[in-house]
Amino acid sequence: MNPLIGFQLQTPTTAAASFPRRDLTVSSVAIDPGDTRFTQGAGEDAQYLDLLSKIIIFDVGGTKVVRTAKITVAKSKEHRLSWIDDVYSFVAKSKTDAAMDVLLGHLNALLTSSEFELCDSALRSLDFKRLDVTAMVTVLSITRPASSHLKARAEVVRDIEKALHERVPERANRLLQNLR
Amino acid sequence: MPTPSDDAERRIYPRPPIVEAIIELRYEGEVAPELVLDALRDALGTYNGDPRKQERIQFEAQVSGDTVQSLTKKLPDLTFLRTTDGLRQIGVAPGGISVHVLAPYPGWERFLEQAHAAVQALPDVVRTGPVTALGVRYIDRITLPDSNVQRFLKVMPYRPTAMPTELTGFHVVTQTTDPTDGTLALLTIATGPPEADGKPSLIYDLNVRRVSDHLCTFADDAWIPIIEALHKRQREIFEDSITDDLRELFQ
Repeated sequence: MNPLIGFQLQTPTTAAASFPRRDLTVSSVAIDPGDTRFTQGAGEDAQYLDLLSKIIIFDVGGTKVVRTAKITVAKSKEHRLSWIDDVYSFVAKSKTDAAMDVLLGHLNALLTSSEFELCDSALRSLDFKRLDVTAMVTVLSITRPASSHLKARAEVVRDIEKALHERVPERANRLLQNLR
Repeated sequence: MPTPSDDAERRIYPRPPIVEAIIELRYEGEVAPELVLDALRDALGTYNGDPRKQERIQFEAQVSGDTVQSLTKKLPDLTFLRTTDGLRQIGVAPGGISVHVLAPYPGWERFLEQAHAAVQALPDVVRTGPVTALGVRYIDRITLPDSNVQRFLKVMPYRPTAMPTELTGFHVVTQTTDPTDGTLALLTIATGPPEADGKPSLIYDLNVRRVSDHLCTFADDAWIPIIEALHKRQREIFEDSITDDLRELFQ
């Protein structure tokens, strides 16, 4: 990563012209991703905030003058797994058929095109608190034929087993039959 | 691992605006980051993407008349172990690790489990020593239907009525400390980068931390109740920051 991306310094000579003609020292340019006071982020939005919060302090003859940096980072928050949010949304509205359409459509497309890594990403990203029983069983069912290619499936089986035993203890074992 | 205990009070949104969640764990001692990196790599098979190294850039410049003298230094700072998709990461720095998950958010249980696995993989010398800081940080990016931010957030500062009406940008940082338990909360709300469709966006970034010479140790999962408490506090602050109009956008 280049921490200078999107960062524009006002040229010191221009800055100097705005101030009394004394020596100007940029005493602190805080392009400092390692600030130990706060929890460091890894993603693009954390980087955006880092840049936004950095200030340049010009020390002009003992007077601190603060200049903010100009930010030009702009990325979409859409990602290749955005469809998972659609599933959660349909589940929350009890639109089971629509949720299954999205879930089956996307998982099926990933599996038939052998995109197993992306399918693993999807499985690792699933929040079982936001899925209903039908969706969980569907996930196990559609991924079972490809289980030897999916590194994340074993973890998902374990988590879904646990979730089903909590939510529908009387039916859990029957639902899980032949799906592990 | 203990089961998270406060499910009943939690609001679970179908479309949470979370773009990144972080659990931070700092410890005492001069354990070489390379040792920690090796231990994590050995124990956690899933972080086999290309690691990302982040360096600290130190820049100094002096302007005297027409002369500019500058000095730039590059210092090692942080290494991120990453899954191949980059959605899960572990940052390793001198004196601490941070566990990251990027959107789509997999829920608190799976996220905490990811942190637990990382802690279990730490070298014994770290696991038996004092924990000096624990933190939970959530970064949300929220696309708004219009620029009337007050309709969605309760935490915007007062704007004098004589100011021009159109809000085109803001960056508000609020830091508070709880004297009873030392919890520190750093809330940053700012204009986000514009979305592709031109709609306004805002960033809501909340970092809740606790720092002490000896908070606990990693042994016996003594850090988990503290992280759970910080997570609960984080959610309370978030829920108290937003309006029902904003909650509607998360459905």
